[in-house]
Amino acid sequence: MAVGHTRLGKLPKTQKWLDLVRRIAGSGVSGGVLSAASYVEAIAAQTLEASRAGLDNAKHDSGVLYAFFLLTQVTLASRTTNWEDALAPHGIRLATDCTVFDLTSEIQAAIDRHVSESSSGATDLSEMAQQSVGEALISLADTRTASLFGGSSDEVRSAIRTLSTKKGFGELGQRFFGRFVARFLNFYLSRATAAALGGPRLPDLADIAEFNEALRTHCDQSARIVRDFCGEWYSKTAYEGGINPENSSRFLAVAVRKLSSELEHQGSEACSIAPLSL
Amino acid sequence: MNLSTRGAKPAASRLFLCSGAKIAANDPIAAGRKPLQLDAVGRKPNVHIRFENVAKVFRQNLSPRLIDFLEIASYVYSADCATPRGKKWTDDDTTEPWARDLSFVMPVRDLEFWAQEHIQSLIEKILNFLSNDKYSFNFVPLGRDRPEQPYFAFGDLKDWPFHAPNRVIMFSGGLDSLAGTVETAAHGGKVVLVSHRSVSTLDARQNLLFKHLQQLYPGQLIRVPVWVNKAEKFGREPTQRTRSFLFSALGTLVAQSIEANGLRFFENGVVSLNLPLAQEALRSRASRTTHPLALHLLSSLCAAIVENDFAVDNPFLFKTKTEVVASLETHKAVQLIGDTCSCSHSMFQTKTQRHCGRCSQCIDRRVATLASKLQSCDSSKDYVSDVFIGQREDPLERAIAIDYLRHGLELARKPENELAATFNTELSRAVRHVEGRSQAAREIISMHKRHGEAVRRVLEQQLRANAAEVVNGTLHLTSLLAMVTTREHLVANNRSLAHKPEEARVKVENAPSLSDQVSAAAILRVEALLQNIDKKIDLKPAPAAAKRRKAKPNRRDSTIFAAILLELRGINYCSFLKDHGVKPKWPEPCPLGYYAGYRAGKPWQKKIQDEKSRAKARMQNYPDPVLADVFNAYLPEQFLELSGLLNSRNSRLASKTPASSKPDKH
Repeated sequence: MAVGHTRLGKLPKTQKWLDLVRRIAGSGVSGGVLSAASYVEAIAAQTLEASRAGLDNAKHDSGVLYAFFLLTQVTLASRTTNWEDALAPHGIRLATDCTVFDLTSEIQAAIDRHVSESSSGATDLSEMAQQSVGEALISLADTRTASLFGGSSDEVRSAIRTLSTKKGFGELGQRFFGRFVARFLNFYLSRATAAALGGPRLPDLADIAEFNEALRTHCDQSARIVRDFCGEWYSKTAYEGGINPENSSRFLAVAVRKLSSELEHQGSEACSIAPLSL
Repeated sequence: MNLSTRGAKPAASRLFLCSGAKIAANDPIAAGRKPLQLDAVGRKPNVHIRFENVAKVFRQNLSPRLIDFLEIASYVYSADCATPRGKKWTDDDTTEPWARDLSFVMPVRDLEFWAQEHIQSLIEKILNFLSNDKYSFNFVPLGRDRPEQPYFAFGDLKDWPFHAPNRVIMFSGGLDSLAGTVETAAHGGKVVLVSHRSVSTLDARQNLLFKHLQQLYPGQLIRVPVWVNKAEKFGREPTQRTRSFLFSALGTLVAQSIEANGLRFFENGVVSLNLPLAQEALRSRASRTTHPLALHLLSSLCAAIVENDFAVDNPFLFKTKTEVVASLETHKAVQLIGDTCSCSHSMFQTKTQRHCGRCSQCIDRRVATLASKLQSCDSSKDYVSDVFIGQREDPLERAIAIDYLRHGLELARKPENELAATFNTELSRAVRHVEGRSQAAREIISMHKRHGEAVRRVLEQQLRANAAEVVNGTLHLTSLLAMVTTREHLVANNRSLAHKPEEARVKVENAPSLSDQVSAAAILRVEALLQNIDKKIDLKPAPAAAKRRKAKPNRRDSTIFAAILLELRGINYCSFLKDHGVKPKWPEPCPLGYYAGYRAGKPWQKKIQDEKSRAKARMQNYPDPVLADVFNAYLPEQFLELSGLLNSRNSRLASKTPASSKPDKH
């Protein structure tokens, strides 16, 4: 009876994935050698190209759509005088001494409930979106509150309220989409980076950690392309008729498309600086 | 919520007709599902259930509902183990097969209970959380009497030697369940152990361990071995994510018989939560067997079944494996470590070597015994392959070893808030039903950091102990230590060390069991390697830090910069500032406003120009989205024109940028 097991898998042995694995390992590189940043950008773009059909599923995935919709509802609730009441319809219950962590914990529970009640159930994409919601809120609230694990409902509300302005939601949207895409890409890449350890690109263990960090930073930066877009959509839609599941789903589809185009564009720029041949 | 959705296609769809259940050929439940028969009794049973060594009183306390629970759990576990998750990726090779659709037609004795909507829903919820599969049940009345006698092999005892222990303990024969048993017995508690076995190779080991436990705590222990397995002819799926559902059923039956008010898993918190080692290990790819949320749900189900308070818990939730192992020393039971087995491939090992040394469980065990300095009780001869210097042929074994170490090192180095963000979903689920969630989450993070520090200590220790081999490159390339290090890096350090013989001599005095100069130099190189690893893990993304420091541009600078972009000069520039409420900040006596200052000539014109230059320099530090934001906020009427000018400015700059230097994003 062995518990605590983690099941790791392999990428399919099709040409596009084999090419990617070779590129990660750095084998077959000729001509100009990519800088570390360009290497990550090129890898991200190629992974995106290989996984396009998977990312396309995000715009139909109930869990992904709900996770983003809930993000808009939490920030909108922070604008109201009684945000506990505004959050209650989503099943989010906050005590007066709640913390930022408590808020994210309630949001995670709400997403879990939604996903388990949906006909499609949880998917890998919905899990990634759920993780990205928590990561985006915690990482941004961290700089806006004294503690993630202390304080009061009012303090938490004040912190979240700064994310409910046009600019604030732009920042939140950028972080959410950036982390979501980073997690999506690493879902595939993490199967190949461990195997490439010891090669020219990832010579030692910490290089994998460094690569993961660089990928996350790259996705965060690339997601700037959706920052203003998120802020303007949020502000305009909330003012005009309100944000609902339908219009937030439509927006998410466009935002994901914009971000993936940006990543591709940057990948092609990186390759044009120092092309890789496989 | 009205959200358009498209469900992922299940990796496998099966319908299990249990205990002789039959359905019509056109029953909609069978549509798209491959039907299979499961039966635990009869002429050709393909699911085997057997409780051994139980007191004759056992059956007296078994209600029909409990027998149902046993059969339901055994069928679910068998179906889980028999249904491969598949290998073929879908959606143009972008979606990995994982979730399955498993449906059951299950005859039961207590239909009124099992057919309740909330009970079905609870079972499905538990199984969905444990396995991420879609489970559905169609409970039907049991048409004919089924003998349950074959499930029980009675021992010599008419009644149990004692009753009403606090909890029944699920005993796997691993280090954690041993430590829990010892801790309970050492405090004078009566202990009832329930051991599930699916293969016979585990049996002898558990028997020996139990015998030694009895010698240590005579008269305090009872053990009930249980066999549940399926016929070989079914397919094989090794993940077995529903096993704790089965263990709960087995434990509840024994607990009811002996009047215990719950059952207990002893599992260290790191394994219990099982945070994903890598991003691919999403959802139940990282097992949730003893996850706090799973145990909470199982408690609810078991309590409903026995219609009484009934807890399923794990007292080791906030302890690392190192701490768990160290507790054996506190209770003077370290001699039992050698009798335990942690390996996930234990069924393939020999009697003399119980551990493969390559799986994550073996790594975890070895790290814990080394970190707690109890390695002398965990003989290296018990490992087929040395955890740190043995070779790993299988790429997946290499990957799990690398991910285990990297994950541990990251846990040790990353700050609390970053771990709270990265693992927010997992932490939130773990403390969902705990009072004081924030505090519990902090304790869990702290535990993970302690685990990470133990991993780092052991890695350092192993690198030091094998420093010469690491530096000379004599380790097998697929060994864990060779994979962690890099030859190039070590060679580079070798050169620098040539100039530091004194340093090498000082270090050697503290080095364990290495006395010559070469080994000392090797240790120094290893230390440099560890520092390099720490440095890379500590690396923070620069933009995020910069973003926090940089405040939004103020209205004054923004308006001046807008005038610059609009290419306003002289009087026009002054008028623009005046129109937008910007007043000069000159010491008195001074002209009244920019316009008057400009007309007055020296030195006011220079002051205007200097201010303009300083504002321009400050504003150029901000990225375009920030500039666009402030223009939108302060100069909404000119926003469109200004954002257009920002873009055209970028085009002009880009055309001047040499191809070799990549322009800043945006």
